[in-house]
Amino acid sequence: MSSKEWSNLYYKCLIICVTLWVWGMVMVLSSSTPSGIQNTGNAFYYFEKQSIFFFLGLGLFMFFKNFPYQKLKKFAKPFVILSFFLLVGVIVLGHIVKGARRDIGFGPLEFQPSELAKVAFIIYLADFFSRKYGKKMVLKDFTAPLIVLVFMMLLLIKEPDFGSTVLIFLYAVGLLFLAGMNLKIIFGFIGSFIPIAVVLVAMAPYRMKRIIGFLHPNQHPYGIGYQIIQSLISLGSGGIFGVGIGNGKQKLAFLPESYKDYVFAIIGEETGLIGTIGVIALFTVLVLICLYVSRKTKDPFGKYLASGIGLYFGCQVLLNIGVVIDILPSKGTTLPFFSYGGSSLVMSMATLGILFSIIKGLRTEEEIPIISSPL
Amino acid sequence: MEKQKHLPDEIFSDRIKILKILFFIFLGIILGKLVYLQAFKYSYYRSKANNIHFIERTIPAYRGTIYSRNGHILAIDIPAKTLYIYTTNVNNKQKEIKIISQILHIPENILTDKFKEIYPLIARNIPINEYDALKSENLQGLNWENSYLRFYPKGKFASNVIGFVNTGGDGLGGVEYSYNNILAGRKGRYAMAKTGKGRYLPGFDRIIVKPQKGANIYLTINSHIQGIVEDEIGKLYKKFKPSYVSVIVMNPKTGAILALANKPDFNPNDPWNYSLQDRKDFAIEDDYEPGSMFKIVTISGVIQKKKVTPDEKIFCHNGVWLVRGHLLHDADPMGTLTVTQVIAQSSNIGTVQLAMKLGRDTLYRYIRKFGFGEPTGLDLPGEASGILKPLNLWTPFTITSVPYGQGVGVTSIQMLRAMAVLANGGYLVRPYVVRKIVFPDGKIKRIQPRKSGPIISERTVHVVDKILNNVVSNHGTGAFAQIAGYRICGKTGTSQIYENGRYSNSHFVASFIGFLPMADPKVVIIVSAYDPKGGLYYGGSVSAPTWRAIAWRIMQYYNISPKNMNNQIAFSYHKP
Repeated sequence: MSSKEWSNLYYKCLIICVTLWVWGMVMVLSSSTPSGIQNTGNAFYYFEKQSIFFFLGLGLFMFFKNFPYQKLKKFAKPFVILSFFLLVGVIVLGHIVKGARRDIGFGPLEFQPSELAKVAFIIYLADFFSRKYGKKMVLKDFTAPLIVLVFMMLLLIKEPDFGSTVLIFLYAVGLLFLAGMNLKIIFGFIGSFIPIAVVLVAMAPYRMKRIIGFLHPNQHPYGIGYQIIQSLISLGSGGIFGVGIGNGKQKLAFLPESYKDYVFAIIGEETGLIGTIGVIALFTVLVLICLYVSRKTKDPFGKYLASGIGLYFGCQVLLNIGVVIDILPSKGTTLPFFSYGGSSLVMSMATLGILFSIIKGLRTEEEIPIISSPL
Repeated sequence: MEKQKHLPDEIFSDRIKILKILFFIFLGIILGKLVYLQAFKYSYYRSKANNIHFIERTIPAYRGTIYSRNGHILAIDIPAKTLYIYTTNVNNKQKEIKIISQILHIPENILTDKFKEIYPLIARNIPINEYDALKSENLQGLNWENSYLRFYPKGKFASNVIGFVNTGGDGLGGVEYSYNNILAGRKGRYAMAKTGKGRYLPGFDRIIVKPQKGANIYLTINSHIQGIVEDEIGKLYKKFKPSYVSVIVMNPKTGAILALANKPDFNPNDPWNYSLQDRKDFAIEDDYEPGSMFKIVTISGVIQKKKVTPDEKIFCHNGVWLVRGHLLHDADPMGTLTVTQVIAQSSNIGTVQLAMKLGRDTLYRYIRKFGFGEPTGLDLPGEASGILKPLNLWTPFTITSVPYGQGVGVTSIQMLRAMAVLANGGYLVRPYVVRKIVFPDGKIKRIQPRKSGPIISERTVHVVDKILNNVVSNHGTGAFAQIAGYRICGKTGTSQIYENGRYSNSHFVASFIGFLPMADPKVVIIVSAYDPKGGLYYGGSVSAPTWRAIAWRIMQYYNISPKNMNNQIAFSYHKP
């Protein structure tokens, strides 16, 4: 990779990241003020909290950017073990929000172990597959990651956090696929989870309702279909140009969770089709950079890690937007950088730091003179 | 060598490509749906959003003012305040209900019911003292919407012409009704923002459609003449206590109504306190048998067709005539009269003989030519057509009653228009009450008088006028209408009211119709009293004196001096 190509890639990625951060913070501000007034009396309550996490995330970003990613291999298992402890801890001790224990309090700030678990799982799988890189694999080689996956999914389901459960499953499938696993085994793997999913849906009435709400929102306009109808009204009423950032009405107690899982609907209302396509374009370029980096990197761990980061963002974005525009049933996933939520923001930014560390590796491999980093 | 193709890096790159393809397929679906939602279904969702984000309200438009011909305000909108409450913005509803109940005198239970709505109407057009009292209290959620109160500064004055409006400001009678679209203007619309919890959101009010002022209307009604008429009609109503009495004054050349009044009448500021009978415009809504007034049609036809000359002798059978199996009577037995005398002394027997000279077909044609059997086209609502049997329903006996106004129903306005033919040289005019419309943008629409004809020749007019002048003489039935110094053409009418299947001997319609000055008629006036009480019932004795008083005062108003006084003092002739 030539010096010019590399700096193009580096700065392109940096611009994408900064744009996502700034726009994300603007949308958190815009979408959370009514709920801030409603819930706390302080319009900027959520924005202030998110800002604290933003600077935390920025610190982690800087740290991981300059941290040689190869050293993460050593932390792969400890991170997974830490995640297990925290997940168990949150189930036992966590705050209950809307019937789910997802947060552990650290003073005024909450932390969601599931966000750590997702990243830890990706690092763990990247480490695991990189050790087998180029070797013929048989099914029993996967015993360890399968056990980790199943346990992690069980803990996430227990919270319950169905969205993270699905995401972790998708990351596993994605990396398994990239690791060159025979397609029959992959389909068998997916197939074996379908009965489990059916049982899970059947066990929890609210999941059943979500599916009914997804299939027939207009039959329950004030019940389970309410949120999705409001979401579509937000998007549709934004038109092509939107009503302007801050001018949206749907966040005024019309669209529930407008500053969390459904922030994309507010983006659609306030910035229109231009805004929604813009957000999607930013994430698309980010995912493509991840996949590009993973192909260019010679180091197998870097390959799996970069592609894992691509999966990490890609799956979250597709699932979140899919739910908001009503082509997937609701399951509770955030839109990275745009949805309010400190843990998601911090982990997303840390993950980007790791991505930059891998990008840096591309340069050193070619032994190109060091360019002073802007960050 | 096949192994070479399956190098780990190649497999990895291939699978990355497959992932990319999957990613883009999913992305394509998402983009497709977004374009569908945000570009193609935009207006659908926009209107849905507006429906839930906004409460839409109408903004009342300022209704046009109604002026008299002389520019006096007869009906005008007064800005007022109407109180609504955003109940979702009220924290302590019980306390607020109590305070409002005390100030506006609305029972608490009614207010409690209203407070169950998000944005209820509390009270319309709130008086200033209550408005101030409410403002001084620290109440939540009050919203004062502009409204307009229709005010009729002259009260009962010309109420039958002006009409009235309902609480929503829509015209329900008179010009207020017939010109409602012009007066009303266009209501505006505005939207108030609310949150998903129904709370009012200040600062987002927006006007969708601005209200448009209505046009101002100038009537043909002359305030002075209307005042004269109402004064005199009041005296008649008091003296003879008829069920109804109506007077219309019209310019015979244009059809412009200068005054129109009825008794009983009503106050348009408070229409619901009056009965339907009080609000009825007797002058145009009710038909009655005109009696001898109708002879003007018969005599005009006969003269026009040159069947007789005014001096031709007619034998009046000394008051009783057996014709076509029926007995005809005259009020006073008369022998041989000239044609002029037949009309002046109002002999029914003589008139029927004249009509028979004309024949029923021609008579019928003249009745139609004079505008009977159809509305006059007056621009007021509720005009009756009158009753005129079509020719194929005429029996041989019909011609022995219709020529003197029995068996035929007319409205005062129809009668007046027919009389105007003899005052304007033979033309049938269209009566009208609105002469000018002034639109808010300054454009002015003047209503042009319309007339058709001539339906009779100038010679006929001249001859008949001379005959009708004889009615208003010491020898005619209209003697009480005489005014010294003015030549007047007129005709009395006294008809029995048809009730319970026969003509009553005690209930009459007493009318007088006429115009003056004969040489150049300025006004044509009709006075009709339905069922006057107290013994007198002849048109010549009940209505003619009132007619005379009105005519005399109008002449004074117009500053038309009496002529050929021969040392008489104007208005010296005064008998009850």
